Amino acid sequence: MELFWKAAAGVLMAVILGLVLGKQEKDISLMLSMAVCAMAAIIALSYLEPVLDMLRQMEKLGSLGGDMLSVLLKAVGIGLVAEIAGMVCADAGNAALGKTMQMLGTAAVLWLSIPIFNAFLMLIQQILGEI
Amino acid sequence: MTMEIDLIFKIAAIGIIVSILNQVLARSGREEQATMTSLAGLVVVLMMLAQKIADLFDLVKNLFEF
Repeated sequence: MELFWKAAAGVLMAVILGLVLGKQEKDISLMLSMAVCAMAAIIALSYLEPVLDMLRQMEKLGSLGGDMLSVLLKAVGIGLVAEIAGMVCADAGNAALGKTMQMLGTAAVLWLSIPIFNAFLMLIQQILGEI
Repeated sequence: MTMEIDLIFKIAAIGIIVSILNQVLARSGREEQATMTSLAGLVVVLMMLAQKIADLFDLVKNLFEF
């Protein structure tokens, strides 16, 4: 938990330093905010690690197929990265790039979920065939 | 996994130094050198940033089973 307070203090400090720096060197200020975003995201993901272990344990208990959880986890990862990258682009004043980045993430998640949709369709076909 | 606070200070310090150098050089009429200094600072910070972003991507890849 100590890491969380450290990260929060670091982010707040970086906001103030970024404000001071932004008057003269906007590009370096943007890079500072990107570096802090990356560090905070790394810490957030390190907190998520036990949660993912718990999910895997629940998957074993429910005897789900291994593909389902892996697709879900990949979608979460893509979503996180695309969201952070999109926000950074929007912060840099390039909203078009930010939107494109988010669209890229959405497209990647849709592409990932094709096997699940196919499995769902097969299930419906099976149920309808049995009736 | 630690929050490397010194990285924040490093980037901020580089920014402040570059901005001071930039102003001094610009006032003394050396516009080209001022631009070059600004560019050099940018590249140095970019190198540090690239390392951090690579770390983040590696972590996401490992954690979410890519």
